[in-house]
Amino acid sequence: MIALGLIVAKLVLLLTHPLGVSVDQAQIFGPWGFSEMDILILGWVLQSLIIFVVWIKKGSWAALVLAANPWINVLAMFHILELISLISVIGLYGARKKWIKIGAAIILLISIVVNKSVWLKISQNNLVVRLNPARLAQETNETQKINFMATGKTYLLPGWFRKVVYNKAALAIQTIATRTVGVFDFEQWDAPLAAWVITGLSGLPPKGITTLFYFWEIPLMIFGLLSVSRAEWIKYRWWIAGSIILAIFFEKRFFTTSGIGLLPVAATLITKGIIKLSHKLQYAILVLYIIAAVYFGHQLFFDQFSYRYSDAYLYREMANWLKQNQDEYQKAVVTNKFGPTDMMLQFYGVFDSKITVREFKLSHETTEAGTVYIGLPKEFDGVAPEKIVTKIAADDELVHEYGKGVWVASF
Amino acid sequence: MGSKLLIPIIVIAAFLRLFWLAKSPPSLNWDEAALGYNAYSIWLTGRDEYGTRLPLSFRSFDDYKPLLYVYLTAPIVGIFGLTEFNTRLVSALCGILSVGLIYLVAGKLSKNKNIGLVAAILLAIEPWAIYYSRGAWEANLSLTIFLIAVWLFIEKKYGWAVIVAFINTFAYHSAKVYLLLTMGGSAIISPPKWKTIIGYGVISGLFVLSLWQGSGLARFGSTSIFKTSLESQSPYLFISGVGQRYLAYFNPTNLFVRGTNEPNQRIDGFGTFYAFEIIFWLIGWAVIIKKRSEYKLLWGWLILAPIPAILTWSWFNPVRVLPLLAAHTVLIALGAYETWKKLGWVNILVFGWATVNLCWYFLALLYYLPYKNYGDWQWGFRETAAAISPLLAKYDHVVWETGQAQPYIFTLFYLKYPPQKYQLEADRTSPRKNFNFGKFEFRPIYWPTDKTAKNTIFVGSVYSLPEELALKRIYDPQGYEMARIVVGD
Repeated sequence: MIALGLIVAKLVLLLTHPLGVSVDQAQIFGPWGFSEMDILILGWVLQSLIIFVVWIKKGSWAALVLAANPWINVLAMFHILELISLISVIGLYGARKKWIKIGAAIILLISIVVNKSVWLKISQNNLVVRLNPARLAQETNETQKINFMATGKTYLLPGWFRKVVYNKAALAIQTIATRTVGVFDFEQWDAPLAAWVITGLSGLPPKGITTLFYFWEIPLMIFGLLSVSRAEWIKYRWWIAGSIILAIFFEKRFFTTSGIGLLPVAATLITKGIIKLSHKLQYAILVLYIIAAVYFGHQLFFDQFSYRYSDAYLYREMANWLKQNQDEYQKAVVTNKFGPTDMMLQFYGVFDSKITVREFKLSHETTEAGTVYIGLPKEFDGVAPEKIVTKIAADDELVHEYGKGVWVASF
Repeated sequence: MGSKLLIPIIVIAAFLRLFWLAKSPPSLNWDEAALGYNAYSIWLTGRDEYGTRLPLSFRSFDDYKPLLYVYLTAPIVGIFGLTEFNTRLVSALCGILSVGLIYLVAGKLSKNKNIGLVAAILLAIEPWAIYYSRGAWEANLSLTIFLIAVWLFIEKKYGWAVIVAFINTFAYHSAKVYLLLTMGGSAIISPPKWKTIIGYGVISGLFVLSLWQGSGLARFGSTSIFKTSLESQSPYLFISGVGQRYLAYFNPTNLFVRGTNEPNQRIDGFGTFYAFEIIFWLIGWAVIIKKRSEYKLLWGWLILAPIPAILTWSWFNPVRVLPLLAAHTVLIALGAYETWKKLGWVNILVFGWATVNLCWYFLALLYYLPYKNYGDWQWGFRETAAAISPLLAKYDHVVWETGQAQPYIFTLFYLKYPPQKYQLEADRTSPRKNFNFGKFEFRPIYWPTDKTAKNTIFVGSVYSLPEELALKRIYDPQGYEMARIVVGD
């Protein structure tokens, strides 16, 4: 019931407080005729289906975990194709009937091909690139150079010693080892923003990442781990190994996507952990889930600047402004200084012949009457304040020294 | 056999802790300088830098440092001189002693001397244990005393354990929490008799008194999470914050890969432990889960040890919980021993890999840290003091540009300024606003107006003082000019 309540509440919030879609999502779903709301609803339907199937097969606690867990909620909103890929792999791995396996394989293939731009983008600095012999050689040489420089260029460690200690093979092993350990990063899982704000400890960028688990889910996971039988280990060992390899292959900051294979493992362990608890503690966990889901939902829908860059929001607001004020201008010049504005305006259905998308510097332009300019604050340098008709506030300076948010000037 | 093997382990530990002790970390930080100078002052005058006679806590930068490190260092700097090596020596010796103690503790906990030996080897070579032994860290002294208390506790000498835990409260602030935990643990395991209750009462009374004396609570007041978080957050977010901080001390990435971000507690690219140790750590957990009734004390140690750190605002700050890191070492030793029994010849590979890791770390400590991370320490004061020292007799006044660091304590330390003289000249108001003494003045420099000052030396950054008038220049380890000395008109 609580899982159902949470998923219904999410639908209400999606309908009443829609969030702008990312450039990636617009790029993938736009050509297929999906609108912003279609994408969000698609994600919601997928999550609801997963919860329903899990409820039938694994029971209420598993369903609640999947309704409340931040990671799956984030995937269902911002990484829908990756979620589809995950479901297909589960089908491929777990189904007994051949036709289901074939169907899952086809869906998996399609979801990866359609989403290839995202996979390619996040694989720019992958493990293979990192283990390139030339790069490893450069790093080992750099370390030896620093050691030499630190002695004031007076002493170099013996050659045999340097060969044993600083070599490409050892560095490659160390790189794989540290990346593997780095998958298990509680800060990244439960407090990426808080840890970053305080010490920069998570080593991750401040935005574009979200919490994946509530902090008490981690002890529950560990507790659940204790009740995993040997047979279960054997059954799922390849899944776990494959998921870890996938996570290691990509850069750590993309863990929300690259670590996706670990989500079902984590959800299973959390559920096992909860089931092992006494009834009193289970009630406590239930209360915790409700409170945490309220806080998480609040952050997700009402405080999106705390975890997302403001570009998605600004595209949405620029499109809204153009739509609502289309009778007020003959010509509109919209900046593409911070991204593919033309594609995003097309996605929102407001791109027409009156609109030109390009960078501008109003101090260097001759403005015509009936023209509006929409751009970053610095692009309006030298413009009389009374010409600025709207200022759309946002949190981030998307282009260095160009100011926060977007301004609209009318001539 | 075990104890014989301990000797070479201790020799290795001693080498890793004492070699180039004054060179790496690359300079004293202000806390180390304050500890050293106060020890010097105590030895020569019986008073701290403010003239307080035999204080129970040292006011220093209004952070009221516990007394033990200063008093133990006093004879060393008094007899052998006020140097960086001598200031750090107590910590380094404690680091060596801890290797012997962990042998006893892990051996007793597991009832297996070989496990004690493995723990000793690990503590001798682990990054955190080497690092905190090479600076004048009060926390490292406190760890040694803590291990003595744990050993007494295992030996069922609970009363003595509590007394030692009480002494430890004079070594480091976090130990105050451990005293309460030791007393609580003793009371639970061995219900106290009247005599013991009276003893605990006396210790509690002394403890409360020591908190009061010298504003011992000042440190907690300034770093407490209750002060910073409760005011601005809901109870749920506050509890989440505490929970997340707690988990940070068990986070494999923090422990084995990333380490801390605290500037003077890290070497780029190294964690608190070596990455390969995670395998043994996980096996260690499996061992104590399987034999949980045998390892109750280790469970208690692991679960309770992060408490002093999570009561503070900072995130993953290992220096506050060195006893927890020692517990992790014991855990790794348990796992390593289990593995060692089964691996056969593979142990040679593990040993080889551990040696390569040790070489990486130790060379980074000796070379990389002073060359690349010198900025995390207050580098440059030693060099500047050496540069101005021969000029002091000729000039009446020295203006030292204040940066983020507090140059006065370095000036006192490196010039070995007579404590008797300083105690008369120091500003005693609290909080302190003025750090000037003798002919030294600490303030910003504005050259257009300052240049007319007569008979004055200016010590400042390259941005504040004209290049063409530089009498002497101070270069950083990478060869860039970081400060210059100029004489006024």
